[in-house]
Amino acid sequence: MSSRYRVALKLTWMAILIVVLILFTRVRHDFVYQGF
Amino acid sequence: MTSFTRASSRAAAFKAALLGFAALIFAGAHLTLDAASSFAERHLDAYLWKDQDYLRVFTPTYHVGRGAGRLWIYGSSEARENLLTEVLSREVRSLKPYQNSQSSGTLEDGLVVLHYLEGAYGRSAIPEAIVLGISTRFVADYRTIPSPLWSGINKYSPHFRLLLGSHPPELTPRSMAESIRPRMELLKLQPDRYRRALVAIGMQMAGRHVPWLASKRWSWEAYSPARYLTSVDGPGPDVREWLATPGNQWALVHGWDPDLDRDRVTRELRMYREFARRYGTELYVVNLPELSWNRELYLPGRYEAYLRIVKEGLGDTPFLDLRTYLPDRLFYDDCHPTWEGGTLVAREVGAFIESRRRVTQAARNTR
Repeated sequence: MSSRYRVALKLTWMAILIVVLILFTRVRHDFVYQGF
Repeated sequence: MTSFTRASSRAAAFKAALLGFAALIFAGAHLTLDAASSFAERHLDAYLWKDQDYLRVFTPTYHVGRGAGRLWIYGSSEARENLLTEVLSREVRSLKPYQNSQSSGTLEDGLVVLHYLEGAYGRSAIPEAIVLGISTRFVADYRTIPSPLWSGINKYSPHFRLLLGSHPPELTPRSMAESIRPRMELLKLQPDRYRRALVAIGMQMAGRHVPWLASKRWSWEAYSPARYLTSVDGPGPDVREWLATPGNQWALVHGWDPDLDRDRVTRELRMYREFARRYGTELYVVNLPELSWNRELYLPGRYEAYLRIVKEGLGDTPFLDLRTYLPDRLFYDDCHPTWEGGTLVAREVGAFIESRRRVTQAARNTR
């Protein structure tokens, strides 16, 4: 495996991780929804 | 020594490049997810701020260029559950309903939202027709919690901040520099919107291949405006007990003296009418159904005074009174209808709007 390929693979994983982190960020709202 | 310095500066450059790449990916991911959310809002009619409905006003894709042919619905959560967009779109074919009702919304909040749309998004966001779903609490401007809309504007709006003191409060423009912080604050909440957008897009795509999916409520409930409350036998005795509990929000509503508030109510209703007249917008007002247990608890003459003041304030505005329209078994709790109840109300309101539109258009044609 070439070093360039390894770097590209790591960067791809990093990108996926960032997207997943954004999507699964728990949001804290000021307005607590009380059912209605 | 020189080779050591060169190696360490190379490592520092690598770290900087990595950080730069991460920042780029972060920004790119937000932009892509925002584009997907805007697509869902614009083309799939997805309501992505489901539990935080007051945030819809800060999302331009819901408003810019979408006023023409729009039936803009406003009220509190009761209006959201009664005036179901799916039903109204079938009943009023010439208009496209958009649900802007807001949990704990009041008559005054609705004016703030309209002024916001007007100031932030301009003429293209002004709806062709407005339907207000009103109740005593809504018109009395009573809230059980501080207005999420007001604090939301001050925290998340890139366009305005709210100056309290006047009724309704005044919107003051924010400069470009002042808008950075609220934009960042709103960005922190976006993951909620992104997730629902992906669900909406996924479900719509799946629905094309598996048609029965569209008939299943769970497949679109996550990104539709109402909560579609279901109940088999109507509200239980605990609800009756809650309604009559001294000191709760209902006690305030039942004891509210509309005559003391007459000037404010009349002024606010006049502002709706003036707004409608200014833009040639049609205005319809619906008095929403009330549970019979609730109706029994008003102090003598108070509900009648509320209706009288509202009707006087509305003048010739089309007004539909559905206070006693639903039987108790079609209520979910103290004030919200079940899905079945909401469907009946929305049908009635749709037929009302459609008939009034026909009359107005016939009158225009004969001129």
